Amino acid sequence: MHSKRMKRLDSRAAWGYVFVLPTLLFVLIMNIWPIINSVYISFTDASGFSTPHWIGFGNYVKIFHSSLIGSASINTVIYAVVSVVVGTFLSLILAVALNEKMKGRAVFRTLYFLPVVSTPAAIAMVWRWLLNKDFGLVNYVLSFFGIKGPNWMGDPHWVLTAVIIVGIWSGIGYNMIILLGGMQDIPSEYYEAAQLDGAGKTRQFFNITMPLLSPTLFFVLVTSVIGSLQVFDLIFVMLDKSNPAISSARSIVYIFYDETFAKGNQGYGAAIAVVLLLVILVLTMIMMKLQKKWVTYDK
Amino acid sequence: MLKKKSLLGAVVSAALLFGMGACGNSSSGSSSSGELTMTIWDEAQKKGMEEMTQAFMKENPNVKVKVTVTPFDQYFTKLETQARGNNMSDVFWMPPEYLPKYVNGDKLLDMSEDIKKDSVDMGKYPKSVVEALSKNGKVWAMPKDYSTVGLWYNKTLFDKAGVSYPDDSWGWKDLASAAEKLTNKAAGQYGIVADNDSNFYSSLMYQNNVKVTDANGKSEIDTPAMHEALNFANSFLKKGYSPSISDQASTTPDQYFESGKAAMIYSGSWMPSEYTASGQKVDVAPLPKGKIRATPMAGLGYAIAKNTKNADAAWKYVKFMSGKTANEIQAKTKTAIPAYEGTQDAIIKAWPDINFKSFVDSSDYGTAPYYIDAWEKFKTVWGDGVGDILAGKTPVDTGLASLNKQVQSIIDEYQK
Amino acid sequence: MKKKLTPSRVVFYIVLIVGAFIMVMPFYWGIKTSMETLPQSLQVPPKLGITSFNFDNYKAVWENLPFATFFWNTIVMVVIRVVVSTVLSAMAGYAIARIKFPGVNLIFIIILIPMMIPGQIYTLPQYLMMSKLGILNTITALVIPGLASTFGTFLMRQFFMSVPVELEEAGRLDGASPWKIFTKIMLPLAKAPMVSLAIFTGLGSWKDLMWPLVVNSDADKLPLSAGLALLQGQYTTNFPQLMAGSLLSTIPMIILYIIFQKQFIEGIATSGGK
Repeated sequence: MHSKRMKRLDSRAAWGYVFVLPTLLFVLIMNIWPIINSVYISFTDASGFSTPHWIGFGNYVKIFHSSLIGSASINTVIYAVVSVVVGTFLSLILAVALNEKMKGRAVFRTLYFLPVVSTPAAIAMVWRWLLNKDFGLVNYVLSFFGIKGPNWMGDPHWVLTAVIIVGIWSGIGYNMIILLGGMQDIPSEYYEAAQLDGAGKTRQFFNITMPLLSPTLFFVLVTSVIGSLQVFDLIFVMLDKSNPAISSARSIVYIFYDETFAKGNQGYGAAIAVVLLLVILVLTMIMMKLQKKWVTYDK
Repeated sequence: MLKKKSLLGAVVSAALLFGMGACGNSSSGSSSSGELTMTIWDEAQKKGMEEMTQAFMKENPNVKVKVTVTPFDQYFTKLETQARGNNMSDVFWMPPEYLPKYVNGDKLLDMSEDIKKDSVDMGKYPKSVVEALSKNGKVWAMPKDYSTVGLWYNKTLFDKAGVSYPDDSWGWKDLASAAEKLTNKAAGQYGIVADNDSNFYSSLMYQNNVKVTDANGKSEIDTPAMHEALNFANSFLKKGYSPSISDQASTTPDQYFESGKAAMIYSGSWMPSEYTASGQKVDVAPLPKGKIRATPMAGLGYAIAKNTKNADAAWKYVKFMSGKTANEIQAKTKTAIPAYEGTQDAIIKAWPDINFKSFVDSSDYGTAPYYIDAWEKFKTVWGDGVGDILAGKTPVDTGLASLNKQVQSIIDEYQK
Repeated sequence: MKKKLTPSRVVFYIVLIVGAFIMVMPFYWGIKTSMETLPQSLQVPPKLGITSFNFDNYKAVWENLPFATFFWNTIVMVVIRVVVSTVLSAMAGYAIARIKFPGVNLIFIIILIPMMIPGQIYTLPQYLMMSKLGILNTITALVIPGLASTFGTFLMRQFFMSVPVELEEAGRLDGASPWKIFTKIMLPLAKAPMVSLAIFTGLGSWKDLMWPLVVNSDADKLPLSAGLALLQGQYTTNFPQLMAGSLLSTIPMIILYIIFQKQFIEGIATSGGK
């Protein structure tokens, strides 16, 4: 009996490996190997085409002493916290709202999705105009409320906010879709039963939607955190290099890009990437551990 | 006997040639036939390059050249990636600021011997362009074009303010007084856009006879000449004759000029198509003189990959593309000012409504920074530092002093 | 049962509409610009309303660039990547969620790690790999880096972990092999997340422009995003044309989305344990 179970477990385990193998192999070859390579480079002074020399933790020491990286880290963390919290919250509300049967639901879902399909160049061009201090639509609308809109693109105090706004704007539709997908498998009977029991919309949300959606929500949170800590394209494309306010918005990946590709300091750049990887990895593992507290699987 | 030998010889060589030809692009490196690729970064210039290439291929039917485009933003990443993969395009555009990196990395073909052998007259190209494309006494790219900076101005605004148009008699004082007269705060109009752009501040620097570093890599940032130049640049911002740097982050310098909100801007010979399309009546004059006449001059060249499989064909191609015939074609395309002496007529004629000739004439006094090896490493620090000064974040004196220290230490560390 | 139009309902709609307006505003701006001439687009301050109904830019973009080829390359690249990676993600996600085999957690972390580092570090190594394989400047090279998905595996794992264990146990009791359980029970359930995944992977591939530009050189081997980048000059960009091009390339994605989106409306929602 025991050996039969063992045999079944073994064959199940074998299947497990089979299912996972293509993806695992792919990841090992295409991704993990380059990462290991980068880790190696991070311990050298690789620069331009010259032969790299081993310098141990030299690059890492430089990183910890760098005020540039310090300020970039702060910018990145602020961006991540605000855009993840606000963005996820808005996506969740939106998903709930657009999950109900209502007029024009398909239209709304498409409209909210549009930002996701835009090219970064187009987004940047358009938002730069919208946020223009004198002629932009945003300040124009604000003026109706008696508010004098700030110099979004040029004022160091507002640049990061501008980036965050555009970041959230372009990400809401994305997460909305994922959450909507997660909601589709919540059987409508649950809601109907709850309604018959007299539970209002809010109760239904907290007692049915949230628990059953929590795995998907967890996914959205984790991927949003991972993604937002690596913000780069948006900043690169919205702010000119000559913009003096850029130091208030530069992210860690921006510095990585500048060091690696503009300045040719591959070793230093690799070290920055590795540090970022470690930080994100630790954060992700913490989130994984915490998920036991609030994410319900397998009802 | 002789006949048989020569017949055998003919058969053998025919067989060899046939074999080589059949191998296509793995033909031996010393043949001047075969296939070449040339990579450029401007789709708008592709037609022109192809026309020039057609002319070359007509004269050299054994060589086939394909022109491909990589957009500017991705060009240098791709170039480096290809260099590392030993897969570089045979011929490609090379600007001076990247030359040291590729020369030091031994990725480019030294053209000096071929130039001597074929008696190519380098005097036909502007001196500063040739210098910028040379290193260690050798030539690494053949000049293709050059660009200079001029004083673009808005005729309507000048007329309204009753200021006479800029001409080559202008000096710094004239610029300053014109900027004052053309500024009308109430109407939101500025005399000039003093932008955080090398076109502007480097012009002033060169005209004050100072550069970022000297030829040996010693920083000239904390010199009186540099202080003077940057103070002058700053004066327009301080006095309000120019939109502030943070204003310019919202509305770009070009937008200020193109919308008629600024009367003057230091900008390049590559701007006619955009500026003349703006609906403003614009023209251009030579830059006002400082201590000396100077204008930032940039020129790029055609470089050959060291590991090209077709060195002979590649050289022939590059020689042609940088020669008189090809450059005359280039001038007709209106895209860039050809580097070869005397071929610029077509492009001057292509812009009849503006004084395009002033750009060509200014090539006589065009100036470029010293693209020392460490340039790549400190250019960001330099750019940020000047930006902070112009934005009013740091005063000129302390800003330049600290910038000097930073840049020199980067240079010293790199030269170690 | 018709929903009554209560005040809260009205507010609800208003908020939704305002939100939609904010989402759409940049598109409106893009469309407006795409129909302008270059001088019109350079006006400061820009006019709010549509200044012209001119389709010259669309014509120019279509004629100057091999748009049809870009479309085709994009479709091939996206379809292959989406189909293969979605299936592989479902397989791996299921295994990680439900099959307890030694090392599963480690493998999960390994699969997640690639997401946590800036993508630019993969460019050179992957380029060198393609170079060694001799497939530079091909559509194949466009496809390969997207054949498996870290993101997708994670998403599917989350989904499968919320599938009731009973469903599987029923299958197992029937003596079904894991493969059969996967294909006959799990996959049908996973339609909704797989559709979401397909949309994203599709989007991600469609937007990626660095990789195509580095690995391919000929214009006719480029997908839409990269092809469009050719419109960006070194100093100046013809924005109206860029907008026209961007909008043209957006259309297929929007159409695909609308089609797939219907799946949600049709309610793939299964009702519990069947």
